[in-house]
Amino acid sequence: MDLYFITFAVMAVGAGIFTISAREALASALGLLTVFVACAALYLHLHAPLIAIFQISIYAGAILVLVVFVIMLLMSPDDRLEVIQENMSYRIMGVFLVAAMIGLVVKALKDVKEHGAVSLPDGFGSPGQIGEFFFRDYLLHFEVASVLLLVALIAAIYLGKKKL
Amino acid sequence: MSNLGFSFSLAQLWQVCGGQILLIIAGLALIIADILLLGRDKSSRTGIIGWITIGSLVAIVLHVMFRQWNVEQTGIGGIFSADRFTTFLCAVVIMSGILAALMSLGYLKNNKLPHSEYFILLIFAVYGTVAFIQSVDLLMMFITLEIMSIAVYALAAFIKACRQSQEGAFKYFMLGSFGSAFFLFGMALLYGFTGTVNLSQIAKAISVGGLFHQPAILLALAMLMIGLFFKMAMVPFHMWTPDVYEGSPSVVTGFMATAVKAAAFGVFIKVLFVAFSPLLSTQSGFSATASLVGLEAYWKPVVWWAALLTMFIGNLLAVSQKNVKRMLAYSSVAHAGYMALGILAANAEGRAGILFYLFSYTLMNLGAFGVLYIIDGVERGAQTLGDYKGIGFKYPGLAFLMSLFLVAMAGLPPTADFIAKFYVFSAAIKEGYMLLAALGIMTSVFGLYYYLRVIWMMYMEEPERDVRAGTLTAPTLVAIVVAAIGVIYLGILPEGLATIASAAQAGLAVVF
Repeated sequence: MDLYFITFAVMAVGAGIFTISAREALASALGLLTVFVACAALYLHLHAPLIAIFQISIYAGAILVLVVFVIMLLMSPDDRLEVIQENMSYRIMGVFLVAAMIGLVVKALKDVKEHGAVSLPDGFGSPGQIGEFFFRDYLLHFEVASVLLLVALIAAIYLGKKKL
Repeated sequence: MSNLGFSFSLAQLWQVCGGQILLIIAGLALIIADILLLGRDKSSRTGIIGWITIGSLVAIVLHVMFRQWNVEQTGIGGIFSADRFTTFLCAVVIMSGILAALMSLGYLKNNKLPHSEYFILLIFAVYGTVAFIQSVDLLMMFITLEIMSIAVYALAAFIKACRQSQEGAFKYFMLGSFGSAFFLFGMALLYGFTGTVNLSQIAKAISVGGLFHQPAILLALAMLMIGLFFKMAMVPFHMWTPDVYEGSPSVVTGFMATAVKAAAFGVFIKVLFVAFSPLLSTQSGFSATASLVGLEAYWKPVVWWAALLTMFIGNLLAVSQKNVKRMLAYSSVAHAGYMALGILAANAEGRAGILFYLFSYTLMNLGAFGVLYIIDGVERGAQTLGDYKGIGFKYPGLAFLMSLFLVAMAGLPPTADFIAKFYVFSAAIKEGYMLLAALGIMTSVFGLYYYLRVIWMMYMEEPERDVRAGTLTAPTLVAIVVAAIGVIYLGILPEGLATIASAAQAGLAVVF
């Protein structure tokens, strides 16, 4: 494990915890932004530059701006999130579940090294290869995903529009 | 997998997923028809769109039954399959879609919800379930799972004026996304380990050198199971069921409890038996996967406990419900537990039993929800047990049909569910799960109590208040009567469907 990974991994987890524990919605959104950027840095490290670009441009760029707009439109500055967070029993249960989950994942991934790492093919994660994946191996998935977007669009329009 | 670009042919695509293509075409045609009909008033527009939906679903189910049944191949580079197991379940979910669409015509009219989007979402939900069942590729499973789920989330929230509908749908959305996340994480782990998302390739990869004993593979299997248990409403992932089933429009609840459950069961059986069991080695010459029998030591205890808890908690909590719809929600949880017995048995009878069960459950559950919405009048008009008191004299026909479906759900002869329960229980007993089968039969006695209690209320009690049932439209009547005849027919002459079901389950191992 190198310093680059540890830096950004800690940053991502720390910002994630900040995101869910922040008292103010806007601070929470900024925490989320940090998570996105840290994840993008990790993707770069994993030789996936295109995914990193997507992460920044789509998540940090587009989705987060939407989130901030929604916060701006829906919440007055005095609104705090404490009311939603006050149920202690859920938090305690959550801590247990998270601990169990982390334990399981750590146990599972500890053996990965013994199994032997598979070397990545040439040009892995490059835009060219992702394009090839998209339009050859996973063409059908790509097409079916468009149906998913269509369904989500219809659902969103129906549910979101007051008078229809 | 990597040669997909070269083996892709339109003829093959049509052969393997003709049903899906027709469903997409129908869905798009509905959107266009909706625009063309803009000039008309809303209720007649919704009616026309509804009838187009029903017509195209009937045509598609015929295509699936008569064309696709005879296709035996995995198509399109190992993404979709068209084996008989898949085709059988596709026919079940499309049938569920037809019954739901027939009832929806009346439901939307009674509740004054003249929105044609309903049918568009319904047909895309059917598309999602069909594609979900057909996929043999975890990534495609995830995408189609989401298509199905998003369409059903929106349908669950369809009564915009009603708080419970919104609340239930939002709970469903949150918990469903959570479940999907587990599915995705499990898939990522498997992909990281095996380098493939195709089920049979995974079976091949993890059987080499006992790789499946690795905690990572087991964790991946567990996560896939969690994701699917959510949709199957197995305990302990059933928490969303009562609120969502109660809040959703009754017909949507019926669709959710049948089509979505059938799809989740089908996919679970596919994932478990194709990728994580030696099934392929016994029938299609993948002899390398025989060692996967060792995995049974891991998943069988889990399914054992899940089945037991599902049967007990579903039946026990149903007893204390005051709302009939909520009671049916818990009963649907309990039914998932009975079906899980067939998975646990892990033999041909068990799988055929589940197919039979899903078919008959679709008929009786949709039938019950169809009667329920008419007695209701408008949604939440008359759903409590108190409202059902004395209905038998005011509405003898409806009460009779309701009694028939409830008797069927309780598993009494001569109805389809008796035969279905018989198949799954005998499959489990054959594999030596005597204790679980005995406990399961015991829980069905609780079931008898709360189902028969409704019938008692309907015929033996004085009415508490004046319940005004909604109008019974012809399409709903047709759907309910067809379901009722099916339930009785399958109870008396089950051999036909049983033969088809056992031929269907054999298809699971032929291709891939």
